[in-house]
Amino acid sequence: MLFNSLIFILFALLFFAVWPYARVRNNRRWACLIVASFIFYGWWDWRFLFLIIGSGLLDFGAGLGMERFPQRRRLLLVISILGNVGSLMVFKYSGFVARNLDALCALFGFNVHVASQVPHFMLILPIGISFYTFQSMSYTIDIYRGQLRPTRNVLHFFAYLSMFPQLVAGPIIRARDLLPQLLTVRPSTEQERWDGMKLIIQGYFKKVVIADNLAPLVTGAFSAATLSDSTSYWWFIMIAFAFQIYCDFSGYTDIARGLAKWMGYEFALNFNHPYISTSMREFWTRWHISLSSWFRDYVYIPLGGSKVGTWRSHVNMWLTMLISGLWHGAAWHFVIWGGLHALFLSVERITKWPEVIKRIIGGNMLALVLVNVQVLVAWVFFRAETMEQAMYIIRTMFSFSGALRSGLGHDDTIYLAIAILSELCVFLHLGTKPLVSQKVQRALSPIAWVLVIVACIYLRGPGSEFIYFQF
Amino acid sequence: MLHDRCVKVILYSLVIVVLAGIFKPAPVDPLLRAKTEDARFWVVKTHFSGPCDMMLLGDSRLYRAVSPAAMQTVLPGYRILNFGYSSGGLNPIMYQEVAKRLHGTRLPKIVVLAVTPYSLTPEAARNEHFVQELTRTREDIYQRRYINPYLKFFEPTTPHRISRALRGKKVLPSELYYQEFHDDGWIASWIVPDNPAKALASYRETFSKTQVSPHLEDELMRYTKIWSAKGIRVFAFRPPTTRAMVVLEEQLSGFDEKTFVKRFREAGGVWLSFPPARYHSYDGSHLNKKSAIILSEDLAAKIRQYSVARCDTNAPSTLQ
Repeated sequence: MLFNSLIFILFALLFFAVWPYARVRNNRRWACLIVASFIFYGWWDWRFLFLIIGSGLLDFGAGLGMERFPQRRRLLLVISILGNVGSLMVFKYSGFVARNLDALCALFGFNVHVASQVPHFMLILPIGISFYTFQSMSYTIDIYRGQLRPTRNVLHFFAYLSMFPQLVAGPIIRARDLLPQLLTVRPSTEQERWDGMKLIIQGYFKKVVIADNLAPLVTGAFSAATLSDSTSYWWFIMIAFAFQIYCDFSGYTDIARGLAKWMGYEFALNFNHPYISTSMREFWTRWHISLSSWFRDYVYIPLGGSKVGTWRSHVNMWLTMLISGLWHGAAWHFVIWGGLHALFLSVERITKWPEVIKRIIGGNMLALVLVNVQVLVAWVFFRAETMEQAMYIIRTMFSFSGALRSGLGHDDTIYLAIAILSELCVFLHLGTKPLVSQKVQRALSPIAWVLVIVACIYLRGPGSEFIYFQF
Repeated sequence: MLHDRCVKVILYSLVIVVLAGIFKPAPVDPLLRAKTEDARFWVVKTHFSGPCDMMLLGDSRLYRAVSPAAMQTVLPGYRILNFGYSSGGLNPIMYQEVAKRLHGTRLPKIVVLAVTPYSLTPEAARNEHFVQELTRTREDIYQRRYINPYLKFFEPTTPHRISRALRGKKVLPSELYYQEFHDDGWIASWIVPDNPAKALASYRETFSKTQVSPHLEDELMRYTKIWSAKGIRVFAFRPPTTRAMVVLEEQLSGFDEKTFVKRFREAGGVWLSFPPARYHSYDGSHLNKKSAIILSEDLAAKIRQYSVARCDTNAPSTLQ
């Protein structure tokens, strides 16, 4: 079920009609959440519910086992991780591994066809598998580390694991953050409902007005029979893609956070205006925060983090970024995307260029531009359909050739301008001082949000899935 | 409750959304205005499950040129489906659809192939349009078929259109593309003004990249033999178009009509010819509405001559 579909609107209306009655008792509340979440997920393909159930039961059992048999904690953790990584390997990476095995054997003169032997069901990527397996893994790892006590109630556990607002595209919520919240019964206040509504409307605006209207422009550029040879064109297209993916993904998490607020729960911030970053390090504290902090806590730090010497800390960071690239998709261009970010981070750590640049007049703005140039270059590999295409676009972006054109139509320009200006306002701290009194602001605020709703309905772009579903 | 800002927003939104829907500028271009009908049309065609006695396969030259309803005036009782798709191919994937759908009660059952050089190219064999429609989710199909027609009021507009409307400017596109969608698979279409040279450039480019595939010709002959052996009558014709387009296709596509017709007849099919001068193409490729009706009646008349001796008058006369 997509948040931007009519069926989801009906589903949400029904859910929030039942929720006030369901939430009063623990088991009833959790059962209601599980049923709703399974309907939400099963709407796409009910067969893959068994995967969530299987993976969940494994981790629920492992959690209980670790408490009961502390001496076998390590073994149970390994079983849990193998189960989760195994399901990812089967459903997400088997085709990739098989294709690369074929290519590797061909290099040595062996003609093998492993890729064609991969069963069809293994080539279907279950929506959101990367999100819920990571969420599930964090549960057992936290128990292993003694940072969380396992729940003894299977409904409580599955309410956490399958909670529909964040099930398929995050944010990745840690068990230690959500499990305690699920134990409480707290009707949401007027302020929380209002904040939730603002998040939902803002999320829909980002997705259906900005991202969906920029999508045809970007898709057209990347799927053209003959790719443009204009430098300016590709810079504009990459800026458009940067905002398309940002609005698409952060729009989804805004809606998820808003729905959670309506239910009386709190999901942490997942995007914090990443394009106003003035260093690559800052970018990764603002982009997909729940994933980057997951990798920090469960990959980078266990590898030794930055406390094992300069050289090792670079290696750890490279490994983390390469795995993060692979997490996004089973293809080499995602790995290169992760590798490029690692390279930019390494250069930044060694040269400390942001600090140097920020000392000059206008240095902050210059740092912002330089960070975004790096991010855009990396996005080319993320979005390109083949490596050849990515290399061609990169060459064109830096060849300063072709006609001076943007490729943007009237409407594309407006949508892109809205996206860029709203980020610039945050960067320049514009609009932080209220122009009218709080009382007037409170009265006028609903009108402004009504206009945003009207824009979502009448300025929506051609509907499409959320980009991050494929991961 | 009315002090709750969420309630206020919902109530105000209901009013403003209705007002905005009434006053929002509609697109001037009829092509954009018909998007809902267009989406519904392809879903209805692709997921058509009713009984069918005659199926027509081909590309856009077929689905814009042959009206099953007009054919039924000559062949009463025959349930006919125009199964043409944009850039549609004649290839085994489409032939297998015939077996799934030709479940009518009338005899003989009939397959009509609209043979254009493009439909026999590997590019057309990707059947992209057909596959896109076939693989839509249940939810999408249901929405396009039953819900979207009621949501036409909420169709989106654009900032550019709003700004022009506010400035009182109404700029007509250089050409107006009109389409009428019929549930039997026909799209009646015409352009104002006519431009019979319009399609030539894109076809020239297409045939510089793709050519008629001998393998796809062989497959067509193979299926013609299979169908004929099963008692299905197989007809084929080259949809009439402009003389300039025929010359271009002869020169660039690698299609040899004479040899093709000879092989098709040997495989058991019946080749039908139509004098191009009788029909008018609005863009150098597709027939306009009036010509499409004439061609449909001509086609039905020729099919009747060859194969329909008995007519079951009890059968319904239109596709449901």
